Amino acid sequence: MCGVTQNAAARCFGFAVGLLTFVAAHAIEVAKWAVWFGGAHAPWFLNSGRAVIFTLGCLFVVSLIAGILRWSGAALATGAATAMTAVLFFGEGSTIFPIVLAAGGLLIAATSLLGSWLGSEISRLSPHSQ
Amino acid sequence: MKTWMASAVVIVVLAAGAWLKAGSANSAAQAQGSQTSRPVQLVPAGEKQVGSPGEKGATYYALEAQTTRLTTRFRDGHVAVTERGLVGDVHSTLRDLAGNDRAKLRLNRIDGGHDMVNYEPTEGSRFQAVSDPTLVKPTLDWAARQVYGLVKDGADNLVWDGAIMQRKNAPRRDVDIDVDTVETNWANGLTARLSRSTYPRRQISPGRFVEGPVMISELSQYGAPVGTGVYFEKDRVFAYTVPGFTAGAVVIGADELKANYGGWPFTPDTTWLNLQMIATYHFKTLIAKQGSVSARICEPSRPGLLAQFFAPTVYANEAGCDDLHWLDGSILRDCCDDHDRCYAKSGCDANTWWQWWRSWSCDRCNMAVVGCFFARAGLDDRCITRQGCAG
Repeated sequence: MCGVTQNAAARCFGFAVGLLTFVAAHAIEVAKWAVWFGGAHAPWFLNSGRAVIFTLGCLFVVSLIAGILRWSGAALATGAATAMTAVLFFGEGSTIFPIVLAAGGLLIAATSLLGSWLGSEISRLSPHSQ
Repeated sequence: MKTWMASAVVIVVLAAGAWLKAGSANSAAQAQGSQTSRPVQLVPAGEKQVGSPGEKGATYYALEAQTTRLTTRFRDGHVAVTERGLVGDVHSTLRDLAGNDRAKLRLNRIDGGHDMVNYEPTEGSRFQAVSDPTLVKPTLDWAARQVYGLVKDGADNLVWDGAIMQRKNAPRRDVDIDVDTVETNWANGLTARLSRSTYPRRQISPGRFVEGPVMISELSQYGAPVGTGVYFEKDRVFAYTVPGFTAGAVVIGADELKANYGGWPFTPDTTWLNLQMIATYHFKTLIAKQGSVSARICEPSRPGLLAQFFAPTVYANEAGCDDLHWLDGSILRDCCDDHDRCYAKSGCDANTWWQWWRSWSCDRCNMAVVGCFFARAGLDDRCITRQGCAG
């Protein structure tokens, strides 16, 4: 499906990269939760201010690169949000999970879209972009 | 005949000796038996046993035992640095404003309750004395105050005045008033720094106004600030905040303690305040990490370990905002706690978010928390510490 058109491929790459970025950031948080992120509560990016910054920082850098490569920022955000939802539901859930998903989704969407827009602007302004 | 008589006398004497020995052994056994059969003091179910009024509890001393270093700065510029050694021995050195040593005090445990107290001033005569466990539990704080009192008042003709050794007929010295700052270094990199100030009138919780002299304890872990506690001396109110663990400021006054203790069981002092902040953070961290202070941490199975790595256990109903604990220190925390209480009261679980037809009560809980997140307004918990935060 991803090989049909260039646009579809860009969306597929963006989705996959967003998904993998969130999973990788989450895996690092799980591994280093006590040392880097304070250790209170369960490892999850919205449970610690430092984890929020770390996850969104990773997403921003990746979406910046994705923007330069003309991959879809929206697809990247969708991929990351899908991974976030899967990780949340793979656990025991939360009593306020719709609020958690909304808050996490907004943060991810804002970061990814900003990063990919900046990336596309950099790409557009670059002398080699023609 | 004489031989027979002598033999009879020896036999009678030996028999009498044996009888007397058996009797004494019997009475010793009886005495021992009476010692072991002392009545057990039973406490009726539901009755709370509190310590003696004016004394701090066992938890205080258990926590104090983990203090490694206490630096007490007095208003006149003297500084007492008191440290605990590896075997529980305590050394306190008092220096004057210029940094010159004035005296040293050492405590060495000699049995289950007694300590040998060695006092060595740079000027004047040394002494050593045995502590009285019925009067004093020697702590780092006690050593610092004791060495300061001995330097200020002299060390001749000493008597016990309460828990303090001082010169006979000398007026009682309230060392806590002389204390300006206290730094308590504890285990796990925790440090509490106490200072004094005077706050103008302010509201720290709905309907509760406080003002006047305060003791402020700033808690940090490995140098990073983790909490603040303030004791309002005139109003006898203790307020603290530990961002991430408490919903804004927690306020405790005599009213809150009346049910269990009849009010404050003792007058909070500089050292207690630092230890209280350390204890609050320590126990809340334990609860956050293992569910309770005493929970056993079990090693999960190998597949469990793998699952934990990618999807750690997310408890369905923790205190605070589940999976949004980043916001626990904000005004939104109350929304989450209200939601938890509402869930507990109505017997709801997270499924009621999408199985909305199951319970209208649960739907109300869910709508309330969404509304609360959108329209949350409350008191600024920074008011417990900020100067000029008028009520």
